[in-house]
Amino acid sequence: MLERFLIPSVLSGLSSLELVARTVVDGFVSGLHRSPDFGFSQEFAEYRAYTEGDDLRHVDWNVYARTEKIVLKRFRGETNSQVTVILDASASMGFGPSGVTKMDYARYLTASIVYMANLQRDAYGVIVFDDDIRTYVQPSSRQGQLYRVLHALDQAEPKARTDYAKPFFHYQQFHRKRGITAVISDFWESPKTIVDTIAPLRFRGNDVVMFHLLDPQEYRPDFRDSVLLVDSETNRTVEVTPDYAKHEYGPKIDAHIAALRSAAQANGLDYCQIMTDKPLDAALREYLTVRKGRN
Amino acid sequence: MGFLSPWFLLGLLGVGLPVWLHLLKQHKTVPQAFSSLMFFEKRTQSSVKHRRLKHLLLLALRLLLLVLLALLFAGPYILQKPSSANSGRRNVVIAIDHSFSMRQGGQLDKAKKEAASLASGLGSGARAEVLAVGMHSRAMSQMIADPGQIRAAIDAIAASDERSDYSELGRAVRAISETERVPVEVHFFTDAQQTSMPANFSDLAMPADAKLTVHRTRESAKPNWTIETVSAPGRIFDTKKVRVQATIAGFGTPATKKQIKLIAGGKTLDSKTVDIAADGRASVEFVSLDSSYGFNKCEIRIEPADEFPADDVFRFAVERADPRRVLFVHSDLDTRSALYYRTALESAGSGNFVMDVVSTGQAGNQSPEKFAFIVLSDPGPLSQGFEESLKRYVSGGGAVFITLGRATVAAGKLPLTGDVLDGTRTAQRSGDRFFNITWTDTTNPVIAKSAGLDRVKFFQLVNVQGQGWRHMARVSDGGWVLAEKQLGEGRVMVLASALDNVANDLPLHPTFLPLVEQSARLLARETESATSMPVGAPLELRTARERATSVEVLDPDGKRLLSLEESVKAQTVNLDREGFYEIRRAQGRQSMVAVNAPRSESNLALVPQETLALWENKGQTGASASAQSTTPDFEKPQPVSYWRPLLVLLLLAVLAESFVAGRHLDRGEAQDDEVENLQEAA
Repeated sequence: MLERFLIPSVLSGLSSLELVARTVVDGFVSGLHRSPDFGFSQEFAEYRAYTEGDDLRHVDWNVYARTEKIVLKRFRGETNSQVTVILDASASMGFGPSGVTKMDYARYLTASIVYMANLQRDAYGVIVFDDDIRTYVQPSSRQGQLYRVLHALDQAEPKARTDYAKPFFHYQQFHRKRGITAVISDFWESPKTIVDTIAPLRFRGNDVVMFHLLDPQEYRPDFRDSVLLVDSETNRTVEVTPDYAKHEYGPKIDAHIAALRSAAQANGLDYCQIMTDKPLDAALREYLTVRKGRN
Repeated sequence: MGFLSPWFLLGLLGVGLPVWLHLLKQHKTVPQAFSSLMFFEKRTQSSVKHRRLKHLLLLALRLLLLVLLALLFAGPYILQKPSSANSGRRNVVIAIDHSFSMRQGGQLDKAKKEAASLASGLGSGARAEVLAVGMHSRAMSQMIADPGQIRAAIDAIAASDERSDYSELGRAVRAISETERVPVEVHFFTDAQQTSMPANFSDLAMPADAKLTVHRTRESAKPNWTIETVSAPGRIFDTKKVRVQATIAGFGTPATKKQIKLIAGGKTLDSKTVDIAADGRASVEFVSLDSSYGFNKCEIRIEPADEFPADDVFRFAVERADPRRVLFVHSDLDTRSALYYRTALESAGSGNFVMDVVSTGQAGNQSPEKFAFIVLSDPGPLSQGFEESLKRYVSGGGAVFITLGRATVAAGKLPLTGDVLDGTRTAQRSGDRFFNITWTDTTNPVIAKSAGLDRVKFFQLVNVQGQGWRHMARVSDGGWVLAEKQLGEGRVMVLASALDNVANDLPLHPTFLPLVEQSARLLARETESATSMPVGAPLELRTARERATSVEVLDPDGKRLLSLEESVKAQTVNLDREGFYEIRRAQGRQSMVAVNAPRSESNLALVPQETLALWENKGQTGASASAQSTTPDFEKPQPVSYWRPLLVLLLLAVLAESFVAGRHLDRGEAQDDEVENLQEAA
């Protein structure tokens, strides 16, 4: 039953991104409790003998009362990460004839990730870009960070063209701390260009997850008659026949996805292709896998 | 080829509609936004190719539909000559008048002889149909080519007693023309009697492709006398009191003396000589009819017979019977009613009824079945046995007339029906001094002939409480004074007052006489029956109440005229021969009716030659006549409409269009399903 809260068309009925994130994450976590593979938050890790200089706040006084030994209680949550979501807000992300646009889906996904990061006490931030960095919320775990990020997401509207080179170059300039970087985009660019742009992040010790958003109509277009298509970013027009869309476009997009996946894997990037009519859990699982790998 | 309504061809402009729908409407390209055209390549689909006519078959069918619809409304026809199979042949209708007047001077034989001669000269390949024309047209044969059969059909025509009606010939020829669809020659053999012409000349009209020739068998009018009408009672009781009147008419005759004989049962009873004016009428009256008991076949005859003896005799039927008995039952208090009723009954009728008067106490000894009807005059309480026998009598078809007075009111209930008698109402000096009849059922034969009922003063009326009474007369306070009720097969008639000249003054009024006479006729079921009828007139066999009863009709030869089924079901029968017919109804009731030929046939005046020429269509002006002679109507090409095959084609096109359009829709849905499957697979 809770799975329905992960369905994009249902989430589009919620007005607040926080509410979306909470709904998604709570529903997702409720589903995870049966799984031993994933965990998060301040989970108990081990006991360690007290040594001088240790913070007395971490002493387990219950154990001391029973055994008169001073031990420290350690938690996994102490290994905080920095999570940065890089969100593509180019005009192509506004495509969504099926109901939920890719931009909406990307917002939900970003909100869910930062909400989970907030629960884990991770520092998190967000970068919204198109052909340049439009909004940058620096990663932080301070109070109110969640609302700063959600506000930035609310303000993000799809426009302009996509240019990966410039935003990522800027990002690498002031990004020093290692962490998790999630790139959410429709990646309408050649796989080589994309990977060449994103791969340097990996070299700095980041775990990079590429979330490739596609609308079903982008994946398998269905035209009953010949149509005149207009590129949402370049305004270029092409007259497309149903026959072409049916028989020639499919292999091309498949090849593109395969090439992107292959290039990403070759450069140690995690790649996750998501259709916007599917629930959010696949994307969240991918994120948690990466997050777990960092602990 | 032409069109009856060529303006409807403007509807062909409508074919532009499907072309516009298929050619232009379908291919209006609206640009669609798409996220990225990275993997789309331009495919050259030229605008001409793009706008090609899709669904050509569907378009063609829709165009065909519109064209057929426009053609259908325009009414296409082609001029077609008569079919080659019959155009070379002669198609002849031989019609012979076999009416009553054709009996005169062997006219019918002459006509048949001439017709046979014509049939012999038709030649090989010609076809002929034989008609016998009288009151109706009878086909004696089909349209046949065998000369032997044609002659046999002519020989089979027998003289009838019907009148002739020439409009029947026009109707029959029109029917033949409709059926055969060939031009016909009509040869009509008749005595050309003036009285056979219909009132409206247009009824004689022949179809356009018929050519009429009238063969007159009589060249000049013949003088003729006939017995036109006879007036005689249908039933007589006293032979000395019978009056038989006859009218003798002459047509085209000089003044003369004629001896008129009254004959009954083959025996001449009386004979009188009358002077008949030239071309005029005379009447003769016989004052006795000494006939035997039962039905008598009577006739009035002209002696000596003229050239047309068949109409010199007029038949009529008379039944001689004993007077029927009526039982009058009164209470001991009521002594005067019988006097008034007897006087009225004897004065009104011609000795039809004899009245037996008994008091209520003596009535138990009487058997009701012996009487035509029974009058209970304020009877008081009846003995149980007598009342039961009365009930059986009424339910078996008998009739009882009850008057109500003090004695019966004291009994508290109405005899036979058992309805409650709720006292009397009496006119007061302070209010209305008497009651008047203010409403009568004029459709009732008793009331219809009893004028002056409204002047009768009723001083005392009895209140009858009961349902199912058919009111015949009501008084000023709304209550009824005369009513009847059906009980089983019989009826009960009640006067809510007495006949003693105390409760009312009805017996003193002149209207009392017809009231008693008509009520007696009704109660005794003595309806006036016709003593004679013209040939062809329908005879009513049964009323609505007598549906299940069987009626037998014996013709003048004594043979049954009706089949078994007809004798049970037929409402009327047409008597088509002269002579005496016996009618035997249920419960032993018999009657006899005499049938005479219609007297219009006795007038042998001829149709003027000009009228006949006009009928034969020869009375036209020279130009039109000559035009017709060169190109007769039946040789001209006739317009033949082709709306039927067009309608069939239209229906087929509708079916085909529905089928093709349905397939188109199915294909569209299949494409949708395919896309959905692909998406799920992805």
